[in-house]
Amino acid sequence: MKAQPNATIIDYGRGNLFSIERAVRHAGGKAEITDDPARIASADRLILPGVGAFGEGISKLKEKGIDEAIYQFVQTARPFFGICLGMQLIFNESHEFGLHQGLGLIKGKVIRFQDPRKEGPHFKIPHIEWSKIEFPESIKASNIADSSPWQGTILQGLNSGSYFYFVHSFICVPDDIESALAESTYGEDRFCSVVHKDNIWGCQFHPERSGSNGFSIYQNFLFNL
Amino acid sequence: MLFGKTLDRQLEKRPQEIIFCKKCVVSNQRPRIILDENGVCSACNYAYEKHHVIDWDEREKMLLELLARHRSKDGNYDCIVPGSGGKDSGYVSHQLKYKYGMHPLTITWAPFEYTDIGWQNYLSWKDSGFDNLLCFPNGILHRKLSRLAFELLGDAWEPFAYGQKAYAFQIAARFKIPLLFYGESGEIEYGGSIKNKERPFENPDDWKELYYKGSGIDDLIQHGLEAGVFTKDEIKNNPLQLYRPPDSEELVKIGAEMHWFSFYKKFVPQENYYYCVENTGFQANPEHSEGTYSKYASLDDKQDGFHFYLAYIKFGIARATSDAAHEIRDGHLTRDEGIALVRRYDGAFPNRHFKWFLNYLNITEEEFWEVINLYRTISPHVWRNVGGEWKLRHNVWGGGVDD
Repeated sequence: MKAQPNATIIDYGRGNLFSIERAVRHAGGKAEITDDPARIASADRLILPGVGAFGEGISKLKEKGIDEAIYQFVQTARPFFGICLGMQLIFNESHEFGLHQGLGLIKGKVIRFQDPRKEGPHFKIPHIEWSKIEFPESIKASNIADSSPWQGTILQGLNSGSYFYFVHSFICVPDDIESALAESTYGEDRFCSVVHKDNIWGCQFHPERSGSNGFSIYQNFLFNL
Repeated sequence: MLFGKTLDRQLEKRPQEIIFCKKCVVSNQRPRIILDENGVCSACNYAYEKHHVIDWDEREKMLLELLARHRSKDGNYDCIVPGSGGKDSGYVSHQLKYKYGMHPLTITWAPFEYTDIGWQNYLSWKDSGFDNLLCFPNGILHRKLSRLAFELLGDAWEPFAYGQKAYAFQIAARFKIPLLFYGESGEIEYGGSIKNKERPFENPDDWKELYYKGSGIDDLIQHGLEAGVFTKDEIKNNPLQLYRPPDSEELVKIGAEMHWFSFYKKFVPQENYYYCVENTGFQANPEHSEGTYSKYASLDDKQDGFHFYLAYIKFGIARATSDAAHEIRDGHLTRDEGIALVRRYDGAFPNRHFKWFLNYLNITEEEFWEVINLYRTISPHVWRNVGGEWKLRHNVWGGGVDD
């Protein structure tokens, strides 16, 4: 029996905390939900969930001093995981209803999907459905042949083309293309759906709503990073 | 017999050692089922998740999001519900229309021949407020395909299965309705492949893989031509198009996606039955179906009994096993009760429609038993001939000749 790993889920009034808590438990971990900056800074593993608008999200984090606790936490090199809005918040800035500064843990910005084209299939925004995640186009095919670029990452064990459940209107654009671990396509946009830099991970979709593929992500987060 | 051989490749994959699930009554002979290290089958493991792990409120939210994406504002059909008017399609279509405000077009791929109760239930279903398209394929060709499938695949019912899925896609493409709803994934709930365990849908990408690669119907036609069952004239100009899905490009163009309702709403067959008695005029059979104790499942086709009987010959488990296993998983029966029911009913011969079946396939009783014995003899790990009588080597209550 492996020791049961702990995951701390940040409660800042934004997000489906209980589905995430359930998913962590189901994957074999212990989950704690808290808004206490001290507990957040000293967590073993940290999850930043999030549903809703960027501006409100960032001001809630600041209001409670959680932003400072997150900065302290990421210094420890322990794994940090942002989900959906939680992923967007770790970028520098967002253009959602005005310009907002993010946590800036990863360089880049958050922009709206392009308007769907008038001709051809109609892609509604928000993007609410199951979509594939794929190896980034920047990775050369020859590198993929040897071993999966997702080996040893939060996506370990998954195949390019695996489906996940998305609900969002904005997409993340990292400055450094190498920080995109996976990409997805919706409408005319190819966007970064999983981001990675050092101990920081983020995904645009909801792994806790994505069945067994999502389950693998929680297991990797708990046991393999 | 015309050929004296089988084309059923899944028979080669049966494990030679027969093992029964520790929680229910199914065995490892069921195609694609997996027993885990504790001896528990994949369907039981899924049932545990269904009743204890899955957050059904969350799943319903996902259903609402899906429906919002497709719901029509002008009353045009916005989803297709294929079904027979039985408890499952009745439940799915009624919920979609009356609870979720959708505009379903229900469609039915007809059974080989309706039973009285099946026809009554079909009529009651559309009478509870649904537009329905009922499709009967060409009767001559359908019978011939069924005859070929009986011998070559050990299941005369197979041509129904081709059309059941393909017809739904045909209608989706022709009416340009991208969303299709099936009830439950039999693979998951009854045991089988768990590849799509928690993915609620298939799209044209999957269909390419699943249905376009070496279609079973082409094998049947080829063999039918060789044996003179079909004439060249009979099958020219694509008369079997409804058995084949439309061009996958067309499905991509309309953005077709097929979802299982059982992913979004907890699906319990017995509860669907009560729901349909209440809402779609569904009636159970006055007498139990042959080979099982149940009165509310799979009762609209005179061929059903033979589909299950052939499974009994090939796998040593039949309809009562399937029904009892599902009800054990849903907590309606204990395992001991399930075993008693299997012991009493499983594998009983479907006498009620035997004459009809022989007549439908245009075969004699001798030919029927030749085919049965063909499938018994290629299943030596399932059956043993003891003094001229075929007996199961192993059964769930440990009463087989080799137990």
